[in-house]
Amino acid sequence: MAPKIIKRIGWLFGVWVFLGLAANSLAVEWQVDLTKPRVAKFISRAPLEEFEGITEDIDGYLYWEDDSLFKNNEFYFEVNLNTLDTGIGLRNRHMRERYLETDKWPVASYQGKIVDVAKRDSAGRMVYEVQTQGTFSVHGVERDVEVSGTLEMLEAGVMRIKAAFQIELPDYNIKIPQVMFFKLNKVIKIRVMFHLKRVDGE
Amino acid sequence: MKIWQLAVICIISVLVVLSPAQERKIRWKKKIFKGPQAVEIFHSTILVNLPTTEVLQKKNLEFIVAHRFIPSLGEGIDALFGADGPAYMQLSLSYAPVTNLMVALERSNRENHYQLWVKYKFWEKGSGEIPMAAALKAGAGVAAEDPALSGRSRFQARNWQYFAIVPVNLKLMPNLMAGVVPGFLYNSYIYSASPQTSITLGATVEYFVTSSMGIYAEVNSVVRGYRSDGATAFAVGFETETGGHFFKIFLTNSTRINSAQYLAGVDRRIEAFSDLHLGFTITRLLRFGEKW
Repeated sequence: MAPKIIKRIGWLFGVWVFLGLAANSLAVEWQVDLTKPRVAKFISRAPLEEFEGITEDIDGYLYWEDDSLFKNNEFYFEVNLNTLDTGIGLRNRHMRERYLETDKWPVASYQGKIVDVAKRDSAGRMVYEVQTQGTFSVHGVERDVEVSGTLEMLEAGVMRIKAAFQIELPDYNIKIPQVMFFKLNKVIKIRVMFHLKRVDGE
Repeated sequence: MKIWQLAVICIISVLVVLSPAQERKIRWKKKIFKGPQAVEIFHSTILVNLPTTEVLQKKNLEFIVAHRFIPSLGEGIDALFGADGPAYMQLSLSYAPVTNLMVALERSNRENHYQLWVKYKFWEKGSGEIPMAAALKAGAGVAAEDPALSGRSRFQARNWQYFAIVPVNLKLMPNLMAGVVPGFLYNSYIYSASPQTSITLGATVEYFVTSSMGIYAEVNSVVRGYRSDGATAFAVGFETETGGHFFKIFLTNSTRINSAQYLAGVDRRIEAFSDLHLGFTITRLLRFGEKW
């Protein structure tokens, strides 16, 4: 009797492991390729003053579960605000110390899911127009946002992401500088471009 | 169906739900981002006449307008303490083609002087108690005066001056910056019988009252070689920064406005506070980035 139960338990365990491995073998993960061009721009257009904060310090991943593209997907991308550069050291320092308070909240992140995909062919490359929903976090405040963008398959295992959206600084408890000249718009446009490389199977 | 077979089917169903596949094994690991890479000490690329170790961001363009009023403070309120002019002025356009390097073209109405220079920040140390950096500014200038006035052609060899300056800047405290600025000038006085050289030593200091306003002082002295007068050049002033602008206003005993002129010394000794001159510098930074 006892060997029979052990045999059945072993069989069950085998099925469980097989199911797990089979499903995992179909999982697809892409990570930001730190060797390829990447940029995040925070753009402010205010009267008399327009500037951009730029950084290439972007990292994160895109994951889905099987080869049905984007099934049960999730992503997380973050930007290092400590390296955000507006072109002037003082302004960088102001932005970090006074407004973004990067000693407390060093990154801005966007975590969410792709909720809609439209595929099109662009000059022989497959391009996916995607709609995403997720949580954007900066300055210690999280807000639900929807962002649209494109995923462009450049070659096997390499894709490029472009996306743009905007936030309002008061929504994130970020002060708007009011010194001498009004130089920062409360609406900040954010544009990102980076490459992902497929890492599953490595 | 036997009971144990039914149990197996139920258990498998539960296990499928709980199988390892449902625990997402994301390999991406959060990295510890480092802090700012660049060492920022003085906020602008020049203090008054002496350079700092700051360089423009890559692909940035900086436009500078500088004035040194020729009448001194002693002219009084009727001449707005010299600000009614006339003035020596300089226009400067600089650009950073690559990281840590900038080039500039300047023109001063003093001797119709054109100057081209490069500045390269070759060393910085951000860690430790005292962040510090060093740069090399080197260039050439030509006093292209009207031949009818100077009696010689605009671009003859003796009109050319060459200089090299090595600012070393330190962040002594969060709000207190200091610098040592040795320099070298060739052909210090273009009308001398033979080319002269000058070796100089300058110092800069700035205290930031707030993160956007500072008070500063600089001195520069010829320690060896030709100098136009025995006095040491100095300036004290105030600066404020808004967005892409710097505005500096200062008092100085020198009306010389670019490196080749300034390193050779000052025009005359001052005897009293009223002999000082007003000056100002306004900078505007423009950015040209890649489109994508």
